[in-house]
Amino acid sequence: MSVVDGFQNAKDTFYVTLRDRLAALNADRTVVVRGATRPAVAVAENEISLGTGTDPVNAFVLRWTGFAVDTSDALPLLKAQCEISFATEGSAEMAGMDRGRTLSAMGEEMRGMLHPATVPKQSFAVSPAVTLATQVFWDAPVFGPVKETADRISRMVTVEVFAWKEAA
Amino acid sequence: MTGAGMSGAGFAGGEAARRSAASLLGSLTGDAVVLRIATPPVGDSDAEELGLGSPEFQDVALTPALVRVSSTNKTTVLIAASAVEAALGVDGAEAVELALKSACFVQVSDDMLQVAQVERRAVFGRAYLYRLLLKTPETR
Amino acid sequence: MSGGAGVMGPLCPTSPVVERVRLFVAPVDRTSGNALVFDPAMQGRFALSAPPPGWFDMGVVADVKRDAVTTFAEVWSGAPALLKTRSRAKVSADVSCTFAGWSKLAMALSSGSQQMNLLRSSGLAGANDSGGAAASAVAVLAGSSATVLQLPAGSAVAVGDAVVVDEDYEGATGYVGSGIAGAYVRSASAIGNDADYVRRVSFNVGRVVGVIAGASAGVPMAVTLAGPLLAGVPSLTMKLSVLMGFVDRLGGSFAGEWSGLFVMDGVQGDRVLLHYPRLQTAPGVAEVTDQLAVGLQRWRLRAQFHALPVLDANDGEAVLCFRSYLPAPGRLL
Repeated sequence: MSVVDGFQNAKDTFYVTLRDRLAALNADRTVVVRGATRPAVAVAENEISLGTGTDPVNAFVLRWTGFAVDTSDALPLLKAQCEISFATEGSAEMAGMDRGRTLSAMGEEMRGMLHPATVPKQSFAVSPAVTLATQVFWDAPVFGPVKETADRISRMVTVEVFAWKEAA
Repeated sequence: MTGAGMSGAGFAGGEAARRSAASLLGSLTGDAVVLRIATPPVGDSDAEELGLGSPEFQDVALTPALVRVSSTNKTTVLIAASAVEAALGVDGAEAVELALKSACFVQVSDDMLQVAQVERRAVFGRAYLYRLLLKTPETR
Repeated sequence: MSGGAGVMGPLCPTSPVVERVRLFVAPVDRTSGNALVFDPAMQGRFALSAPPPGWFDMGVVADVKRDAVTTFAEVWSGAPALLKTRSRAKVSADVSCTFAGWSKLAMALSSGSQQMNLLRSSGLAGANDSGGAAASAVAVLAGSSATVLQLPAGSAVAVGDAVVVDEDYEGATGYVGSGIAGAYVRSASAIGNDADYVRRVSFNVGRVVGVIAGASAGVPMAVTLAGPLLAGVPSLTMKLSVLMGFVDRLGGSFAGEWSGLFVMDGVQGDRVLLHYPRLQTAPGVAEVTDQLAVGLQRWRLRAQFHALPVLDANDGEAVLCFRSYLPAPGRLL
């Protein structure tokens, strides 16, 4: 079966990779979405928009921005910026006083999820998913400053994700 | 007073507030609002996580609900905590608030609004009333 | 404005605005020294996806640089001395470009010397810096085509393998390699009488995309390649070796010769053609790098060539490069 390739495959592959790596790094880092528990990674554009403007705490939320195409290679090289936000209010038992440590731990998990910085690209438009011929790869993450609002602290990591567009 | 005595009095106080709220709202209004809630994801499928599938939706009626529209067109809905818990089938303040916040839409008459804020009124730690602040979804 | 139906007259000439430069190459026949003729009048408007026969598409190239140096012999006379006449004494030209990807041909064009195949080896005992003793080659059987090879049943060839198909070396001197000369053999002893030598330098390579075992024991297996072998249908004396990659060297004595055709299509429908009938690969291997993102560098092959002359049959002049311009429709000349 032929699979049409585009950057969506790279986005899906990147998300599934981060989700599965987090599950291996810290099985306790989970999020409840509509009553179902899963590893605490979500893509904002794939979830029901509730209009509340607030991401869940203790979870990594991916947002895709800044798409570009480089046609100077033999295959077009697609690139997009991924902003990964994570926030925490600490734990209720510690009255939130552990939110700094929790954020640091999440930062380390973020580093672990992003290494190695390459993974075979898959297409999830078919079931079971099909592994394609090229790799999705990304550059070193850039950690933004810690922001504090009320009892919540948060951080954003920016990663540039690349993938070649394979001919059908 | 002992701690046990304190909790006994608190529990009774909380229950009284819940019954009062339910009774008061029941006498003031017979209106209902409908929460449209997405069902949980299917099994081990990645489809919904990847935006390849959409969930089913279920409508949950909350009644009696007191709907107020302010002069600035802000809509609030007051619902007795006991009614909310019974309709949603959940107990515990956190679970109720999560369920209310996860509603995709709230139908008030012919309008489909979104939940902007959920406020819980409690006495001695027992919720007796929920106040939903609703907003109009952003249009394209 | 004309008094007729409002049809506009020809427009003033504009400069071609070009999005990308495409390179096509053809091997020079090293035995005869003849380069493939490219007639811009007949062939100039060829579709980029279907170049004229004999030309290989190298894809888009970047940073094309052309240098031409012409020196003149001058005759001065009189008092004060005045330039009386001058004539061309020496003309030389170089051209260089960067390839978009690494391929067998791109490495060969950028290496400046023999470009060799790393044949799957038989073991560490015969290890060598440019590839050691090769595993036994597999005979190509009757019924093979340029795309589907018939091999003996049970041959160690799998989907995904890169393979080379060419003759055994049998002692001849001169240029070797089917389709394109890959090297010049001065003597059999210089290459150790290596039966696999032709396959080491051959350009007759392909990627296996399908393997179908014979219907019963002893029946040949069919191996399908991603594209046709450049030397066409293999002869029954050819053999197949699996290759692990390619190697080229800084040094060596062989210099490849190619015809080069740079094609620039302007956005207005005009086309510029730079045809170098004989380009000799310049010595040395070179790569250029660019910073793709934080911590990521992209390595690309850089090729450099010296232009050699051909005689233009129209007037017998020695020429290094032909530059053709095919104007856009409706342009003044």
